This record gives sequence, C-alpha cells and structure tokens, in this order.
Amino acid sequence: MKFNYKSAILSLVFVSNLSVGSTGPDVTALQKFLVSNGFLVIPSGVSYGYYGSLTKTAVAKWQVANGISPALGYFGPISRATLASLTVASSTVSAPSAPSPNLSLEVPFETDTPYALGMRANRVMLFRAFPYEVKPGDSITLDGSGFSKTLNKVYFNGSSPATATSTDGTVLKVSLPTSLSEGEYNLSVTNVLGSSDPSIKVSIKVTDNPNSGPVILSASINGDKVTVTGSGFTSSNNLFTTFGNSSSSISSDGNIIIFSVNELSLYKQIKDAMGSQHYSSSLWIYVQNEHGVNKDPYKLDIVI
Amino acid sequence: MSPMTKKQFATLTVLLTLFWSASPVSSVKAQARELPFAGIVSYSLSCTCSGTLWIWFSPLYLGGPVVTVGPVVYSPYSTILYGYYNIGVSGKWHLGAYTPGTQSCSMYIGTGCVTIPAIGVMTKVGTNY
Repeated sequence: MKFNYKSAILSLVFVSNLSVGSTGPDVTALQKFLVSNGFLVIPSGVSYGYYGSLTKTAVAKWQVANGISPALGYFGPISRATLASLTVASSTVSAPSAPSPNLSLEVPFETDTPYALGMRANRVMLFRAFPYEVKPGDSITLDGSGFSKTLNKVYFNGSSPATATSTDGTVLKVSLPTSLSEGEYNLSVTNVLGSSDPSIKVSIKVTDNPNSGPVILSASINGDKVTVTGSGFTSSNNLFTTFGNSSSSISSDGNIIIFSVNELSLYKQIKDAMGSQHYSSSLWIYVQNEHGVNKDPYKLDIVI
Repeated sequence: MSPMTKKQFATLTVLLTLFWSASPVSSVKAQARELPFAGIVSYSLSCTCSGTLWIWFSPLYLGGPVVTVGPVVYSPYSTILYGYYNIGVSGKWHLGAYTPGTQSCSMYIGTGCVTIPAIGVMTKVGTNY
C-alpha cells in the first residue's frame, strides 16, 4: 500500500527557519511536501535531509506559486506560516481514502516518526517480532525504528493488515488478526515513511500451541565453561554472543546449556588482541532454537 | 600487543582532554550525554539490519583510571567521522566521544534481528593513519 502523503499529514508545523545548509527531519519533511506537490524531484541515489541548491530552487518555485515575496528559496517565518495554513486547509477539504485513526492536527511531522539514536532517519525499519510463536489474536511486540505515532500498518505475508501506533518510534505493539491460519508469516510495516526493507525477513509462527521460547534466568562461568540456566531450551540450540556465535548447535535437557567460551567464533581474536593482559568485560548471550530467541540478551560479567 | 607506556598514556590523556574541551556542544549537554573514549580496534562486525558498525576495542580507555575492553558502535547516520577515516580497521587507534547506553547495532539471526549490545554509540571519532 502506498500512503498519500498529503492525506496522512494534516499539518506541517515547522518550528525553525530552514535555508541552504540545513539538515535533519525538518528538511526531509519539507522536501517530501515539495516532491508530493511537484516542486522538487530528488535524483536517484540522493538522500533526503539536506537543504541544498535543488531544495532552494524548489522552495522558490513554491513561494512564487503561493504569492510569497521575495521568492528567494529561504524557508522563513512567512513560508512556514503559509505552509502550515495550507496543509491544514487542504486536510479539511480533502477526503482521504486511507484510514487515519488518531491523527491529530497538532502533531508536527518531525515528531510523528521518531528514530533511535544511530539509526537511519526518515526510514521505517523493522527488526524483530516477539514472541516468535503466537496464536491468532495474540499481541506481539515489534522492534524497529521510524514507527509512526499516528498510523502504521503491519502486514502478514503482504496481506491481512493490522493498524498500530508507537509512542517512541522504536516499539510497536500489535494484535494478530484472528483470521490468520497456522504457518509462518513474514511481517512488514508501512507508514508515511514508506515500507520496511523486505530483504530483512522478520517472521512469526502462528500456531494453536505456541511455545514461549528460550528464557535465560542466570549464567555463571567457571574456567572457560559457561553454564546457562533457564527454560525453553531444546535438543538443538544456537548461541549468539558478543564473543561470537557457537560453531554448532548445543543440546540441552530443557533447562541447562553448558558451553566453552573457546568455542565462540570471535573469542580467539579477542584473546590474541589482549596478549597477556586481563580485563573485566561482559559476555552478552542469546539462545536461539526452533521456538525463537530470548527477548533480551543475558549479561554475564567475566574476566578475560 | 604490548602494554601502553607511560609516555603513550600521557599523550593519550592530553589528546582526550584537548578533544573534549574543543567539543562544540555545550558543557552541560556534554556532561549529560557524551563521554570520551579511545582504543585500538581488535575487530569489527557489520550490523546487518541497522547498517552500523560494531567495533571491539582492546584496550579501551573511557576517560577514567580503569582500562577495559569492549565494543562501541559507529553509525554512518549519526557519528561525525574525522580523519584519517580508518573506522573499524584492526590495529588502528580511535579517539572520540560516545553516548553511553545507546544501542545501535542490530544483527540478523534467521527469523529477525537482535540487538548486539555495546557500551554506546559514537558521536564523533577520528582515527590514526
């Protein structure tokens, strides 16, 4: 589904002036408005977010079209006020076909799709769904970035969309459609920023008898042997840690996993880099099996 | 790798102090959100979902008396990169500032991506040649 930008954003409220050299979400919001209204074409391969000569020219064209003088391509107080009034006005006269629950006239664009520090701005990203095994109608938590506070659509194998909102842009709670039959589903999220990357396959397994998956309650180290206790372990578990991954699957009785740090793929590199020195560090552990992976990594403090 | 000499440590301390004092952000903001770091890269991993770089430093200097080892994340979307641009290259010194506790590395593991923890995300970094 493609969002209609003008119908999704009811009010473009800018709190600061923009000019050549400006960067950030405000610039992206302005550029998307200019693109959607035919004043700007962003060349292929060029990212949004920088106010350069193309944007300046596009702003000048828009200013001329809206009777703003002088039309110099500087997005100042007059242009900001004009754009805010226009977008509010257009939202009141248009009849958007897309559903728009919870949209607020007072929500400025730049706060609608927050992103986590270090993550790419202005792109919706879906990282994970938890838990992995669920029943139809259950609630799942999606981790990612760029989720909308007002409207996201979550698709299951490209259909059966469910709507959801996020409070911080990085977490989305959604209820599974009750119509989903048993099987594995790839998830995607669509909002005003576009759709999540389909090459990153985030999946869940719908089943009438879901298993909660691995849970780590405690861990300890003695020599190079690490003992992990918890629940949901199976006869074939994989380890993902900050010292690398296990080279082969590790069996368990269901509650205990024992492995050697020497078996982790990056441990030798870490030891070689330290020479004869010893340091305190942390080993973060994920256990993955056919029922999923523990929600948060377990932190084990060690000396290496 | 040989242990750091007193002269090297003194030089690093001076560099950290100069780098920190030259920071363009306000001191209040800096104290609240940024801390200095420096270290030698052992290896780095590409965070396949987030597009960032998870870099393991050994040793890792965090501006205090305790020397440690550990990962800090470089983000092409938020970290300011200074010369000589050898980000994540094994054996290269890195010097900069980071935001502690922020997790910015997400890696694919089959059914989705998990957060690979780090000490924080770099706000700015420079490397040696």
